[in-house]
Amino acid sequence: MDWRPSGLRDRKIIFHIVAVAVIGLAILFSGQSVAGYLSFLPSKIFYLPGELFDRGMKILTDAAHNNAQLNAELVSLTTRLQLSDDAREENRRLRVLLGFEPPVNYRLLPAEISFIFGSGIPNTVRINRGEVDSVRVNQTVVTRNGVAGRIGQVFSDYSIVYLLTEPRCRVAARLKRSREMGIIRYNLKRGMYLDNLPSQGDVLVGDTVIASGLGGYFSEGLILGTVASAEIPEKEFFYNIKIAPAVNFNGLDELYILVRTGESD
Amino acid sequence: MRIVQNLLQLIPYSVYLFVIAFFRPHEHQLFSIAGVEIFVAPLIVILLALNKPVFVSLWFGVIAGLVFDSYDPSHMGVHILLLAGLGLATSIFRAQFNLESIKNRVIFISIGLLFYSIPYLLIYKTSGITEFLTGFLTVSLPGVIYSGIIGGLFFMMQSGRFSYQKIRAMF
Repeated sequence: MDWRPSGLRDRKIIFHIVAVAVIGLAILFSGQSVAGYLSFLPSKIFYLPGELFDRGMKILTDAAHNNAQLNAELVSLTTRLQLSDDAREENRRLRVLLGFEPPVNYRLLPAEISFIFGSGIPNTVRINRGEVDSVRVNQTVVTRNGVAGRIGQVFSDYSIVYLLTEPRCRVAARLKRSREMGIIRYNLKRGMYLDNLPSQGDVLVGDTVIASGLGGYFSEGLILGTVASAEIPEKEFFYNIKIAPAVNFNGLDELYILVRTGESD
Repeated sequence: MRIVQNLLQLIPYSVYLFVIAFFRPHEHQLFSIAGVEIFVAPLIVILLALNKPVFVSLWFGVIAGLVFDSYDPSHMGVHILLLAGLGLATSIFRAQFNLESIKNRVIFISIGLLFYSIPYLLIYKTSGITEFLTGFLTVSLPGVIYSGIIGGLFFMMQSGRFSYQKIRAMF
């Protein structure tokens, strides 16, 4: 009985096994030069698809890397562009403001808004100027369009501004054309209105309303708004005048405090 | 005409060699799970040796070893002997086992891969008994299991138990 497995019973296969073993050992101990020659052809033929795959993957990886880099750059540039747009807009506003002349004996102190308070419409804002900047209670706060309010409270490095939409902020006003006088008030139900103007007064829709200077807080001539509607209710002695404020309280950006020249800086 | 026929018969073997060469530089990147790799070359040699005569298995092992070692000629000859031996052993011993069931075939190829991985580990990866045991437990054994699973999937696809239609039917 033959002890060998069936695969080894053929003498030819023994010959092949011996041949392979001899070849294998010869290559193993032949040294680097023979190994180099032997590996040349297989590495050029069989490794070619792998190399192409590697190249393709490298191109894709580089493209993905570039893409990520360009995306980051795009975000950065977009942000810079937005900031630049904002600066351009600020520049434009400042250019407009150059035409705004503060009343005689006053100078403008720019202030930035740090907080806005109020439900529905802002009625109080906090600004970054305080006692150290010569800010005092009741100083007038304006925008390039007109009066925004007055300083309500002053702290060392910030202040609270009562806007015209704050019920505590009332302004003695007059119509620029007819010189009729009244008081600008605001409440949520009626909005801004000119109170205390007798029914005999001369009022037209579109009339400009300015500060009369009689209240003591606001200098005369500062623009408050325009007459949006004027009617005399039945059996009443006073006009019911709605005012369209000169300042857009929902779009406040820069405020300026009117500081009397001569007040300590 | 006969030459053309013989050349056509070589196409599948060339494809196997291309697959071996493709996976050789990328074995650390492609299909590696937590550092565990598939032993592609020995797996292909074993799968081929299960169905081919001893002579073909032996010489395919030689050529596969040559292609495998061409990537790193400093060890040229090691895989020629290893894969030729693996092809030969698989081809000879397959008749001694009942390889009808997929489970038996998976066990058979796993044993073959284990026999391949031990000298591979001794030559390439270790310099002491501790390193050998560490390498065996962290490289060889997980690699054998992973490759065995891939071999099992191949057998399941071969027998039609695992097919695209069946996967589609699951969803």
